[in-house]
Amino acid sequence: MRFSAIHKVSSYLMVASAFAVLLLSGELPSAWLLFTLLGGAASFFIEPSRMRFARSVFWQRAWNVATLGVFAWLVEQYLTGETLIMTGVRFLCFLLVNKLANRRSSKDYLQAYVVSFLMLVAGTTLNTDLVYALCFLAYVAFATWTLTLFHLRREMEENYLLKHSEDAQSERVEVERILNSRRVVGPAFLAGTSLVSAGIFLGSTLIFFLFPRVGLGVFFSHSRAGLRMGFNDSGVELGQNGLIKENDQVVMRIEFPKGRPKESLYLRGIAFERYSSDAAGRFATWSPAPTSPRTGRHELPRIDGVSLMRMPADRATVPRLLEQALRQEVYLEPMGNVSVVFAVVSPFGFQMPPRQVGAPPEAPDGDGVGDVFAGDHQSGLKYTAWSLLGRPPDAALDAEPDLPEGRVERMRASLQLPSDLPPRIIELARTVTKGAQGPHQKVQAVMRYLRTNYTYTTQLGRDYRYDPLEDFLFIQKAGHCEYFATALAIMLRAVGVPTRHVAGFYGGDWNTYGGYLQVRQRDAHAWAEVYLGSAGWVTFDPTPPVVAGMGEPGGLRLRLREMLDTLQLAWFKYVIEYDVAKQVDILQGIRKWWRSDGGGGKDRGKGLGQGGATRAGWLYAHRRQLAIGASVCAFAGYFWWRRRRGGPASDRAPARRRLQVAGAFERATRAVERRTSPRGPAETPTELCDRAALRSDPGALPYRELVDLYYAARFGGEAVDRVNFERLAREVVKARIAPSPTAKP
Amino acid sequence: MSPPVPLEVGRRDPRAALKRLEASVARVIHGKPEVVRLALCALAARGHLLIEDVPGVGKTTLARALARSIGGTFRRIQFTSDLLPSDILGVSVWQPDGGRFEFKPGPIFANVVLADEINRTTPRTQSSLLEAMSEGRVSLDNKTYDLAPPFLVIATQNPLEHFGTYPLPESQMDRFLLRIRMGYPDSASERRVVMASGGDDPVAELEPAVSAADVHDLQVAAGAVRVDVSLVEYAEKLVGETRRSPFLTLGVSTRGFQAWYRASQARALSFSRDYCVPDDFKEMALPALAHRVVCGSSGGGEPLGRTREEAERVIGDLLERVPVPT
Repeated sequence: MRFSAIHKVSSYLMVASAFAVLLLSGELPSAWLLFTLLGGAASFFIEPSRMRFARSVFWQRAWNVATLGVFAWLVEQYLTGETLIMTGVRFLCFLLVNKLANRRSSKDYLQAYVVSFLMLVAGTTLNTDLVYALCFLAYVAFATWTLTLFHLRREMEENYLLKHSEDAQSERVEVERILNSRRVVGPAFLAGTSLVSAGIFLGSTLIFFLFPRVGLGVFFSHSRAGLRMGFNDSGVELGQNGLIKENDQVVMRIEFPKGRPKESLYLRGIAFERYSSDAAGRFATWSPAPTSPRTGRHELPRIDGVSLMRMPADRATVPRLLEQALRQEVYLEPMGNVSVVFAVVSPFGFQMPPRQVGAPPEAPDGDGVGDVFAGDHQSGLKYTAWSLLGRPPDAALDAEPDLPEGRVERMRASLQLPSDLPPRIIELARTVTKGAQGPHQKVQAVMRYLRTNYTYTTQLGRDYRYDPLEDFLFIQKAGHCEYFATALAIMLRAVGVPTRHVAGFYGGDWNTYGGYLQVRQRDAHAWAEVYLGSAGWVTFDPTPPVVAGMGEPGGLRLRLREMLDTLQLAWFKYVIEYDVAKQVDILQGIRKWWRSDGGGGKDRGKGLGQGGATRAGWLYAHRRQLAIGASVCAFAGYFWWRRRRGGPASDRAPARRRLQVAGAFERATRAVERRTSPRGPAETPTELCDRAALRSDPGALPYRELVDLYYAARFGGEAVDRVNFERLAREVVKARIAPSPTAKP
Repeated sequence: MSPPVPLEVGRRDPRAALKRLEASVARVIHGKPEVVRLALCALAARGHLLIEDVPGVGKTTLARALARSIGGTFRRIQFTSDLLPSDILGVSVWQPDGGRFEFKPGPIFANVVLADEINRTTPRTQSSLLEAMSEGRVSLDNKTYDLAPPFLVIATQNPLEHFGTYPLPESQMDRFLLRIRMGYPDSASERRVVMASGGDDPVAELEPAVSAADVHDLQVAAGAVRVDVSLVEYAEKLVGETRRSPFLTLGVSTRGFQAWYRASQARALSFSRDYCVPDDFKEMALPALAHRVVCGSSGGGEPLGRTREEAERVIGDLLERVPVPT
């Protein structure tokens, strides 16, 4: 490719990789994306050097006016509440298109580069995905190409003069000819610079992990756009869940320090108590009970930074309970409409890491219904949860008596029924629970009834003449978890058992590569919690089992997706959420690895087996082999280097004899070169000296003497008086050209 | 460090001899130290000198001054188109009283021979001279006559004329160690020459500065000048380049390489060094090599000057390209 073409293409690649960060963040309005994409693509074909309109004053003025207009409009946007970063990014997009459409000189290219760099910086906040790392890597590689080419081009266009001989006039380099030359840069250049940038990238990665962390970024307050969930804090509309059954976006990733759990788990999110349907009976909604005395957020009691759902009578048992509980490290994706946090049933304790170095752990809020809200997890959240597994045996539950009259008022919210609930639902509930003794048996009866007479489906039919629940119970006889859970809750309420509707997740896939549970949108689930006297709120899931909880991975595509997801978690864990604590973790991990048993681990190479008990010991035990290996590598490297340096064996020059005074001579030579001009490879030092003398360099005289001494040592093999030599060299270095009218310019 | 043995042969110091020689010649050749040095280099390297320049710039004076300074015999042969080989080498004449042929040596039997306007004579005559130059002896009638050392031929030719001339073929150009140009003197020297004219011949006043034995020592010493292997490699590379160059149909021969090497040694000696430096090779490249190569574009009928300039330019270009060792 021609030089100018390579420069242009690599410039566009660089700018595009920066823009891709914004594009893939999904934060920019699509109108802006479209404008930037189309504008950038169109500008590729606008060549101001060939097209007259692009050089016209009108064209340039139009762009200037447009820039001012866009700026004013964006200022207005900012003043009316848009965030600074979003207005800034829009302006950057416009500037980029402007600069690309007006590429007249290297200066315009430079401005486009600056804009692209700012985009990349803004992208750090807008795009916290793994894809940012890819874009960044591409940017580093392309930027190295582009900036090198740009530098060459500017040197040519602005500074470089060619002088064919001493007495000839300097003349400008033929810029056009070089720009059109195909020989200036080739694949070797591109490959070489890419290698360099890969090295730089590795270096900065190392710095990233090792450099001490301080505070947080400037733009931290910006939140990422969250996932849309099938439910939110304010309620869930019946039938919504079906929409997300096909969505396999990962919502959270959970690590279990105690190892992979044996069964599918319920991840409890939020409970709803108030059930209502609209006047026409078309829609039914679950929402928190606003009138309940128990609602309203309060801070959970805390021990050692762990917020507890309920404080046991004996505070001293807490550490033991936490020890027994199932510990989960949860990485929650940002959720646009949900601020609740999830934990395996039944949640016992939560710990939110501090969001700022040195700050105390965050304190989540509880609402008495069992929901826990994170203060702010708009940009994703990592927290630890402890859950107590297991439930009382059925026999114990059966023994629970019906709700005593005195508690009905307190449980009112969990017994609430809409006033326009179709009477045949209540009748059905009574029929089903006929003969059941105590609340638990009633629950079992309704569950049995639902599971035997209704089928699970996400293909919802709907007859709008009926209330949604009535439609499900009597007409469709098929539905998904929300219908089952709602049916259970409402039917139990109808027979006086306090029940609430719970939204959360069930199951998830086990990622074998990362060793964690990944929970997707489609794992969203709904079930019910029933109040059973002294046993408290007990979870019941009326939905017939359809999908096995943790699906085993199968197929290449799935495996690839798992791997990608592992990377994504690592990116979030070690880059986005990387802080001092993580840094210490990593260093300690390395230390532990170093001290750990060096032998026979199943995931370590065979043959490393015998030897010391630690890595260091292993190294010591194998020091001889290691030494031999290292010397072989060193020799191989040396010979490779020699070969590279000497070219083909036939005309390889013997290594130049190093003289003691070579350093001083080179210093002096460089000093003279600085004052005159660099010495060409075919120029002898004497000739350089002659040139210096022509410029009345006072260092020329001592330099000539120095050259003679050097020659005597170098080519005559004579001994050198080092003191004298160094003195002469200093004299040469210190000489200054006195400004004189006779000196050649 | 081993002492430089050849420099101290006997009581005579070849470096001092060279200095005396240089000073002596410089008394009549004003303002041309480089040309004098090159001429002395040719002598020290046992080579011959071809001076190519317009008439009247002191070619003959240089040759005569050199001859006088050496203290040897000097002969001048004016080359014309009717000159015969015997006019140079000599003839055997019948001696009636001895009853045998006796060899009458020609003007070639001298220490310094000035072959003036060598391209004016026929190739046959030219070649008879050139054979003597390379062999150092003359073969005539089955007899071989050795030429007494030192033997230095200084030939001149006028590069501008080409009517009635017989340009030397490449093989014969190769016999000359160096080809140099006199060039016009600078104004001060020229004025001095002009104003001194009318008096006695300045060359005639020169006294021999060195003896023939001194010259021999000089030549031995020049041959013993040390050359670093890196310089030989440099020279090799440049010679290789002349052979590869697309602008030259004929590159530097091995003899040319050898001549360059010896000339560089001699130049080192002329600077009182017993080792060569890169500048010796660079400075001697044009005088030692340019007349041995043939330019690709030089067709017949071109004036000598044109092809010479072209050859010098090509070799000059190569000198600018091949990296020198430092």
